[in-house]
Amino acid sequence: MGLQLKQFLLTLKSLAFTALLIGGLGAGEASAQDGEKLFKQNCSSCHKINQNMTGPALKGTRERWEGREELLYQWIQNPAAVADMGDNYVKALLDEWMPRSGLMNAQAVNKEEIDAILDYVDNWEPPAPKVADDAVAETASVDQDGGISSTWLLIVVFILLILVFSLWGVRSSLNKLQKAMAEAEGREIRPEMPFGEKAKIWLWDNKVYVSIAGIFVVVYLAVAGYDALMGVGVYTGYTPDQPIAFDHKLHAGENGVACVYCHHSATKSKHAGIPSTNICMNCHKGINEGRSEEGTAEIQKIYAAVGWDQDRQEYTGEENPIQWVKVHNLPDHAYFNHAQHYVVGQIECQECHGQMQEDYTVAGQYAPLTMGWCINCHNETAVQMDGNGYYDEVHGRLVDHNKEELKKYLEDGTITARELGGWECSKCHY
Amino acid sequence: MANNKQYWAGLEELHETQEFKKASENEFISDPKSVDEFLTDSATSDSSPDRRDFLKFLGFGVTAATIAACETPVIKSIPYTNKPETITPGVPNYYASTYYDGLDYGGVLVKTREGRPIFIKPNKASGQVLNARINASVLSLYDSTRLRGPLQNGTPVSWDELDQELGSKLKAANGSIVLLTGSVISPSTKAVFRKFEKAYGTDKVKFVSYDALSQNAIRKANERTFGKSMIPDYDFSKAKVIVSVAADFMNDWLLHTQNTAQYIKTRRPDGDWMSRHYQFETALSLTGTNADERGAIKPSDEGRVLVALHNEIAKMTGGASVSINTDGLPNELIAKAAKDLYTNRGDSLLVAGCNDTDLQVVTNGINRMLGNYGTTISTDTELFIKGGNDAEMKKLVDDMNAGNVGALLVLGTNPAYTYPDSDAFKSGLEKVATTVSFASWNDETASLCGFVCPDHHYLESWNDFYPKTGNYALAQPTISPLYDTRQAQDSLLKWSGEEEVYSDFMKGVWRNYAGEMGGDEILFEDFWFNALRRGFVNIDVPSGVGIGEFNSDALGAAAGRIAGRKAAGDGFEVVLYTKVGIGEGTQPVNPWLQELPDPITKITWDNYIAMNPADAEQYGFKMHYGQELPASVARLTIGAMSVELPVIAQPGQKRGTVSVALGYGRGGNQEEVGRAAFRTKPYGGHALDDNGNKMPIGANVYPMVALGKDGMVYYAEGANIEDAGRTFEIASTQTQHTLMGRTSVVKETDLNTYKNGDVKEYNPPYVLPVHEGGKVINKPVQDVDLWAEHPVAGVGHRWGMSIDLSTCTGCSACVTACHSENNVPVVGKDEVRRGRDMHWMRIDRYYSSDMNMERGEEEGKGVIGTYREMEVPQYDNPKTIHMPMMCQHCNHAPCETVCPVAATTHSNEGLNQMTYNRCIGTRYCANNCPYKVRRFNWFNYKAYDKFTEVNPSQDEMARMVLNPDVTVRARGVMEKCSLCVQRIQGGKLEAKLKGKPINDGAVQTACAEACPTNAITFGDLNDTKSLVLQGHKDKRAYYALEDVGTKPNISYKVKVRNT
Repeated sequence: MGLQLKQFLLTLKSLAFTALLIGGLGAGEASAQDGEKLFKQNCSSCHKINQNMTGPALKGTRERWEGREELLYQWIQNPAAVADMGDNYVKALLDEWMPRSGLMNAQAVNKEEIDAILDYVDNWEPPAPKVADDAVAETASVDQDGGISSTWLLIVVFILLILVFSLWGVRSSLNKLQKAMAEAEGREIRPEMPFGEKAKIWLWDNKVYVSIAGIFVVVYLAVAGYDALMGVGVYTGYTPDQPIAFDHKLHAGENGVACVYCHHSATKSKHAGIPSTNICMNCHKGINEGRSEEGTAEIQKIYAAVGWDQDRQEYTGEENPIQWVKVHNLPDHAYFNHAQHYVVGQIECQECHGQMQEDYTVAGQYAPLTMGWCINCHNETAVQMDGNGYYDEVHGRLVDHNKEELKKYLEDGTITARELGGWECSKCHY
Repeated sequence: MANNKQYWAGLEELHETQEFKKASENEFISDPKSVDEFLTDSATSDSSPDRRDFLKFLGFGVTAATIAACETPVIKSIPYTNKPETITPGVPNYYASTYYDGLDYGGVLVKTREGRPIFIKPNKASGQVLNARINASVLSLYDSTRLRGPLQNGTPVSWDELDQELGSKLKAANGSIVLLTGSVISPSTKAVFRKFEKAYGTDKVKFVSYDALSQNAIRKANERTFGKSMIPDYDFSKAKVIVSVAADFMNDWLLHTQNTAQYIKTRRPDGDWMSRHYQFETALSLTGTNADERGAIKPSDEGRVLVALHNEIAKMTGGASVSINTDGLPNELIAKAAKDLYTNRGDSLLVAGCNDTDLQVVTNGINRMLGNYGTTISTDTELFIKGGNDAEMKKLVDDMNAGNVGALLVLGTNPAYTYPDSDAFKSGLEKVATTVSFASWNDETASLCGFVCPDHHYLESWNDFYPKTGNYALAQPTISPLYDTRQAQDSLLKWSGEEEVYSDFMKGVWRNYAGEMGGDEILFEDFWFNALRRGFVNIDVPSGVGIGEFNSDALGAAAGRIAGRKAAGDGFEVVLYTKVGIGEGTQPVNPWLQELPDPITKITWDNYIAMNPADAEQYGFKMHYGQELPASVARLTIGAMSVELPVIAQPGQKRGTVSVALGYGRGGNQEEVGRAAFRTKPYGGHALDDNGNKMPIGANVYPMVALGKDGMVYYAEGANIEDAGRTFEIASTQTQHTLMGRTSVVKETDLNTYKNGDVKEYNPPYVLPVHEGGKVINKPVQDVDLWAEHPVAGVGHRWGMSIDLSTCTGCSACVTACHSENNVPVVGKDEVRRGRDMHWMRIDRYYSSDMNMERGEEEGKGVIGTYREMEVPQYDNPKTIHMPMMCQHCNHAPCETVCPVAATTHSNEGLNQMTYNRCIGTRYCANNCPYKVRRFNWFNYKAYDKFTEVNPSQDEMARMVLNPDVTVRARGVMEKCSLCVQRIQGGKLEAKLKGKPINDGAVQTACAEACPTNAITFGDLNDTKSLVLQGHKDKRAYYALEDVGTKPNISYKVKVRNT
């Protein structure tokens, strides 16, 4: 009991100490945290701390504006007014940045907030690279997982081998013994039968089992062969190497970018389209660092493709289009339209493309894209008619025309794509 | 113990015969070859492999193919780096532009996919319609034989080198600098000419323009009669009576794309009135087949016909007549036409096609007598096309030969081919120090010029046009230049020392005139954007300008001169005309046009001598032609010029005359004018003559055009025809000329019967005798059926078409549009000859026959004898009917029931679907189709080398014209009209995306869209307000071969003639 109490007190003490510690640290860093928040809210869309972006890098702003502190506040709050004042430094700044980026917008921040931001900027240190450690840890854990199972496997194999050898040894000693006994008894030793003969005899002796097993083997081979043939030209799971290791999990998953932000032609065209590089640049003009060095290198590939000079923040005009490897290769005689399915049919992308936002693959084929797969969906999927004037009209004709006919359609309560002709050849083949 | 016995393989070894020694030496090859040597050894590669090798190859091949097939194909997909905002891959963009080549003019809408033009459709708001030649022009863009960069003396140079070299040569030109052009109707181009003139000296630079098909006489006649050299604007839509003397005004006469649009407006029997059209002509022309009354005349009699018309009308008005010999003219018809003209004076129109000033003066005189000026002939607006001047051209050729021309720049014309006296032109060209051509191909003229500066194709160019008063039009590029070409205007600007590019220059010109054109200078950018978007700007024209005082003396003098002309001598008269497909011959490279069956003769890929069947019979020429029946070849001689061409028996051709089309025989001196311009061998490759030269298709008859003192005359007298003693295979898509009394195919009536008669008289319902209740009763065919109804009426869509035979002119624009839209393969002459043409739609042309069942019975000819005579069309002046025929999308389709694999089925939207990937090629369906509209892919047209010369899909550039929404069919499958199902699906999707019903007319098939006369209406028969439903319910509506009981979704309307 005494021990327990002592332990409880100790815990309480350490808790209190931790709270104190956290509280104290928190009080000391309050303004820097505000500064970070304010920086992200107001500045980060155009400025980086240690790199030029749309505007100049902010690190060292105070030094550069030394002697013009009041002007700096005014500049941030109302750049247009300061630009007209004719200050030399401001003029130099404008000459350099106006042609590229235009004049900065007025920022709704007060002096205290500006100070907080500048404090944050001044005290900011680039984060130490810790990617390597993560990577090592990850590989280690993978090794461990794999190690356990393979060790077990090795042990089992080893035991089995020992078993096989000892049984073999037993058998050969028995044979020898038999021979020796026969010799001793003076019996005639039967000549060894060839293996083929033995096998024949064995098969004949066990013909019932053999034929049953044979039937299984034949059926298995037929099924496997059929599957293999049906799989010709079906590339489910096809994930070829791509020139850029784009991460769908990061973009669509963690960052929640909508699929059609990049694949925007899915809303109006038969092609969902591989996004053109200028769409990448909508964000990556600003986001030039990945979460790891590899990520940053991949972003650099975008810049190389689109001809973006990161230092000068401008396009060089040298374009090297990215050569992606096409993943979904529908045969030429089949017509598929994304807009029809995504917009009109209101089918989620994931139904055919899988949970891309959870997979780290640049692109992979999820659906088999076989005709059976297509028409199965056409058979099961209800047509999204509500609120679509087109269907109101076409369906209205049916309602006006023949109630009996209509009943046929509504037998199961839904009108599926098949019932509106979704199984007809010319819907996809022309 | 050593064994020294010897064994022999046989007696041969024992005796050591020669054969044995040789064989034993070869038993093991002592000199093994390396792999390279083995492969390059021609003896090895030429020898056929033996059985073992064959099996090895086979085994290896099969294994390799299997392994290769198992691997996932790696296809690269390259998105835009910087996607243009307006382009969405998979969604077409349309750009308004304008086509003009000197003969054809029309506002077009260019359909582009991912920046590639793939289809040309009419910009109907522009007031012009399109013909087959303009529709097909998109294919010429991708031709791989176009020049890929500038040439100097036949060798490629860079533009900079050329500019430098040529600039100094032009500056140093000794003599005048002449810019020889076709008719230029572009205001900005003319402004460029002014800059050029200024740069090189106004006195030095001269401009000469000439037309291959000249209408110079009309300008000259107006100068004589009204004191102004001009061509007035004709309005066919206001004319209640139209009389045309040899003017093929729907094919090549003046602004024919506008004429057609206007003409057809009043050819509808359901309107308030229907115009009556008389045609006097020699050859049966496209316009002639549409005439209500047609008179066949000799070309030399055109003048006499006009004067006779004048006299008849003068009789009625009480004017003075000119005495003239009217022997041999269709006087009865002339009197009838004159009476109609007079009755409708002020609402009538007389046009003449000949390039003869006297005749045009008389035409003007008659129109003035009738008071047509100010009504059907505009006194306010004039046409600026056909500005060529024959006399100036003749003078230029003389000047060139005299050595007075220092530099000649040839733009938009090809005089070495089209100029009648091309030999004089060529010899003159040799005397010109600096010669420049802007041709896109290294053609007849370009190959003789020192500098060739290839111009852009029109789909790559900026331009503007001013074809008639008040109508401005723009052309804009729809694709980046494919080759290293430069627009001619840019070249001229550069050589004039201007920095500006033509597109900016043109915009500048327009900025100056924006105010005049109803725009605003301040809001110019808006105006410009809208003008480009629409493709044209029409402004109001001040009315009451007047045309000037009529000079009656000129009329009398001209009529007198015509009356005084001496009669044509013996021998044949030859008419030189342009064909619907080939025109002047500017697109010989275009296989779509070469394969387009001529609307009249239905012959493809060839030029021929058309002769009246009676004449042909007399000469002993072959009367029938087909797969195994070649045509006779005749030698046609005029003076020193002679050509050998196959002879066609053409009903309607005036006896004693023949006609030969211009525009053939391109590349006679092996010029690179395109692969499709040359004859091909039956199994691929170009046919070569004895000298190893490629042989052009047809013969060039431009040299037969006479250069009279009045200008170019497109007929000749005194021609001699003789049998060349050989035959020539020709490819025709229709060798059956008459209907043989099959009234269920085509129905026709006259206007009076239609207006006043009962529907049973002109559109009798078809009845079938059936047994019912023990007796035979006649039942309407739609009530007799073997099958249950298709549940298509009232449910969803039911696509259908209505075709008005009254307004179908047979122009075949729909055929090329279909070709272009549906990736229809081109198969070449040999295959067409075998009846394997692939056109999804064809236009059947039927002639009337003198014989019919009743007459045969009366005359006691017997059934066989009657039918035999019914097969023969009327020789001299048959009535002609054009009937577009494509898959009828039968609701009880005979093809569907016989397909063993259900590759052709019926959709719930009324379409007869053809599924290529299911088809196994039994061809039962084609055999069972009563309309014969199914086409079988006998070959792999896109790869088999038989078709390399003709099929665009075998050309890496021309393949870009293929419609990406339509499958390119493989060998061994059937295909046919799908009613443009890709457009139906596209239209439905568009409606669904917008959430709105499909408007009637929003979905159009390619043929309906291209139809210049709206004879084809397409739409949804379940839409109660649709035009197509009205068409189906019309009194004139009938179904082709209704008696077969196929219940088609395509109906026709009875043809009504205003006779």
